Amino acid sequence: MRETRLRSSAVLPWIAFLAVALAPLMMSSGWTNMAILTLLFVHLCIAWNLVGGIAGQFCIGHSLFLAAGAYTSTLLSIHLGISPWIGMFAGAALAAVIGVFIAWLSFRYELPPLSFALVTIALAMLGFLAISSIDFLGASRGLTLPVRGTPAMYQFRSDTTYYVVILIQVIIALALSMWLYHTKIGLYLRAVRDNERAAHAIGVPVLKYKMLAMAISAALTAFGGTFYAQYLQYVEPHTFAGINIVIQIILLTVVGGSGTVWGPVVGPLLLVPAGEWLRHSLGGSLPGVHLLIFGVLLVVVIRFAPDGLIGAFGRARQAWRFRRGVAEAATQ
Amino acid sequence: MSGEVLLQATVQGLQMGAIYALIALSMTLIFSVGGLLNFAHGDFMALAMYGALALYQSFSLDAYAAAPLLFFGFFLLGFLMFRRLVQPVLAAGVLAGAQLTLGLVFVQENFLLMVFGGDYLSVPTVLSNKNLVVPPLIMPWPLLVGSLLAVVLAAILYVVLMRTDFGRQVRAITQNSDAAALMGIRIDRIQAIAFGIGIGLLGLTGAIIVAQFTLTPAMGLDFTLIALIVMVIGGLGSFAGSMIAGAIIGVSESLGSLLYGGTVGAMIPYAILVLVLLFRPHGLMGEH
Amino acid sequence: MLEISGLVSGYGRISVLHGIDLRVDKGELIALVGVNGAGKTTLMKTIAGLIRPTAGRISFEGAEIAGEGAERAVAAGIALVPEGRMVFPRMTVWENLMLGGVHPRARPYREATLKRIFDLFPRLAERRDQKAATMSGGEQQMLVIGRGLMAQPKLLILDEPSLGLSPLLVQETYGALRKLNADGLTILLAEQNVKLSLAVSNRGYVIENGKIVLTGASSDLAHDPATRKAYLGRL
Ligand SMILES: Nc1ncnc2c1ncn2[C@@H]1O[C@H](COP(=O)(O)OP(=O)(O)OP(=O)(O)O)[C@@H](O)[C@H]1O
Ligand SMILES: [Mg+2]
Repeated sequence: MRETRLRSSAVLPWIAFLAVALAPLMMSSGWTNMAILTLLFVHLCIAWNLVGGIAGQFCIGHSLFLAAGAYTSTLLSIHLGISPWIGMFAGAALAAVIGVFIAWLSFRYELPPLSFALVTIALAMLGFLAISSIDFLGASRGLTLPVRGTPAMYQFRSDTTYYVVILIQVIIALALSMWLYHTKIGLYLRAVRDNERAAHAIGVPVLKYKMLAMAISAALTAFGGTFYAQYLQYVEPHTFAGINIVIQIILLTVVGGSGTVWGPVVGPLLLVPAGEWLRHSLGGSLPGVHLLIFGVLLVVVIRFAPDGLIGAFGRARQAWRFRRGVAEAATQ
Repeated sequence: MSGEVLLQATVQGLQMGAIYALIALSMTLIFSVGGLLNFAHGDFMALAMYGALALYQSFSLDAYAAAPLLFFGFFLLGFLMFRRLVQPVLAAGVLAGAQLTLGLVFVQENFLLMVFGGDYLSVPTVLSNKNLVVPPLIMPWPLLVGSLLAVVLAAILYVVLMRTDFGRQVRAITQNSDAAALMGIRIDRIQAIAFGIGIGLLGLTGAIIVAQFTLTPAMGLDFTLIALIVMVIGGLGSFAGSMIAGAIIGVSESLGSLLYGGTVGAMIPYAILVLVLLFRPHGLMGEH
Repeated sequence: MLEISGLVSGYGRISVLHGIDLRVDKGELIALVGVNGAGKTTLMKTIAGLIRPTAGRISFEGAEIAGEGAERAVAAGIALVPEGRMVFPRMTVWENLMLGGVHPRARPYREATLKRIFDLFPRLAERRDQKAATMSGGEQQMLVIGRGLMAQPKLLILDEPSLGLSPLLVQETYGALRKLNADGLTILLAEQNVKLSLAVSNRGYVIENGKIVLTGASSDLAHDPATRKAYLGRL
């Protein structure tokens, strides 16, 4: 009964999502750029949400996975001439291994709450510092991809093609996240989030499922990293291994509603274009002003809807239903 | 490498360590308020340092003279911020609280960027560029004074928390907030004051160490991370632990960059944190 | 002194108390008895201001305190010694007691009250600097009673003070309560231990499913066939 209502209410966001998603196919390149950036963040937020939202493990180390995807595919392409289409799977595999290892390291014992955030932020900083100083990885200058110009090497003439690629990635990620949410895996992960001890007590193999969530989340993030690197045609530590992008991913997810299926979609879908618009209209005037306004916007949403826009929307709908129910009862 | 250089680096590391310990203790105080992990911690201090710059530029007020002013200003900021912003979000859980502070990182960094621009800046003070020479050591006065004040302030904070009614009320709320309410303790108010003191201390700390640092809008995150590391390694709420952890981090960072270069020096604290979290998850001196 | 009428209270949307009427006069020792889940704890927490009632009145010495919060209740002179020994675990006995008297109303008398409490429970004086978490269950029970007294209450409310104590310690605790009452302290006592609580109290109330079903002098209640059948029969 609950299931069917959930399904029918899930149609509306799909329509909205597809409408927004397909529009750029008919737009100018400036818009396409923005749409690509937006969808990239949707993809990254969906990936983070699997661990940070649904499983409730506050991971700040996703820059490592982003970097794994970006650097692996780029290095394979530069040195061995291997197509990033193949390299992206190598990057995802590497990210998954790193993710599983981090999860295993951190979750072997019952660490105090939030210490996972600390372990992952420290590992992310170590990764950033290492990448910034290793010459083979381009150090702080970064690496530029050679121009090859063929779709087989993940290089396209038109931005629209990049757009289609990331759109397909997002749809796959979204489908995966929806499926996970409703299967046993998602159920177990949510049980772990809500009450780890209780989940353990009823026989959920907590460690195994946390490691699984990390593996999937890390691999998905790495696919995003590969895409971003190929789209920009270069990799560089601040963009691909810095803490800042993780903070953005987390905030966008939280504003949408972390732990829900649609939160990580709604957050970036609304806010990345808003941020870009602010940058276009204010960026020239004062440095940082658009980001300041953007940040204030995020803080205001968190203040008034700590469970995100999805949660606020749900509450508003419930209140509306309730009021309608009262009105109906009054007329009868 | 001569012994004198090593000694010099060690002393400098210890002095930095005292400052780290103070920052970590104010983070611990804020953490004791409902379990808030404050990712914007260092950004508040960066804000104070830029505040000292603004006071100098506008009123030629020396940073050391501005320190009390910044303490009260930041206390007020913290108090109001807790009431209007932090407390309502914290009511939704510690995770929401931590996420809010991530948002504050964003806000503060870009606020500084907007007002002061992205260039490296420094604040001239009475002590700037002066050294105390005690052969074979050469100690910059700003660092020496900053570290001594840090030790004094940390000791005062410790006494306030452990030996006064206010401190007992703060700890009571941390340990059992229902029982604290039964004692007639006004939880909201005590928490707002504790949060205000934590932020106020950052204002004070920023002022007394500003002469030692070059200012950039994004400098806060590094301080936050160092404070997190010291807080965790020292064991939450342990005064001696924080001091020891501060010294360990300060010295290893300083010796590390001397012996192996800046990057390795910067990596050492994180490596230590990872090792401690994995093998001594409650810190070196934690109560558990 | 304490006058409760029509009190409805509970958790969220669930009402647990459905219209409670209860009166405590100055100097009395009143017992509130009822089985598990009858609503004793809910009633005491509501009086102490931890739970906001949805309807009804709680007037204490003429002032209305219902829904005004715990701080207001302490200020008025009500102290609750909660169920389950809620000590401050990582603080010493002395620190716990100091916190009991931290409210401005009690703060000026702390040293004097502390001396009285150490006289009443010499064990606490011996263990002044021990961390509360490391004390035995019985010692913790003394500590929370002492901590309640530190607030200089006019009315002391105790929620199942005998729970989990050995018979000897129960005797000791009840002896202390009787002594306090003889010195003029008004006491409201919730218990499942019907026999014992009716033996020490002047009057009693029987609570069942959130309603007061029986009230009267304790000696009458102890001999009332209904009480006997419902509770005492099983003891
Ligand atoms: N926090 C809570 N949320 C929801 N219901 C609660 C809560 N605490 C208690 N209840 C319910 O309220 C009812 C009364 O509980 P209460 O604790 O007041 O009983 P009691 O008389 O003190 O029982 P006992 O003798 O076992 O302590 C019970 O049905 C209980 O399940
Ligand atoms: Mg009870």
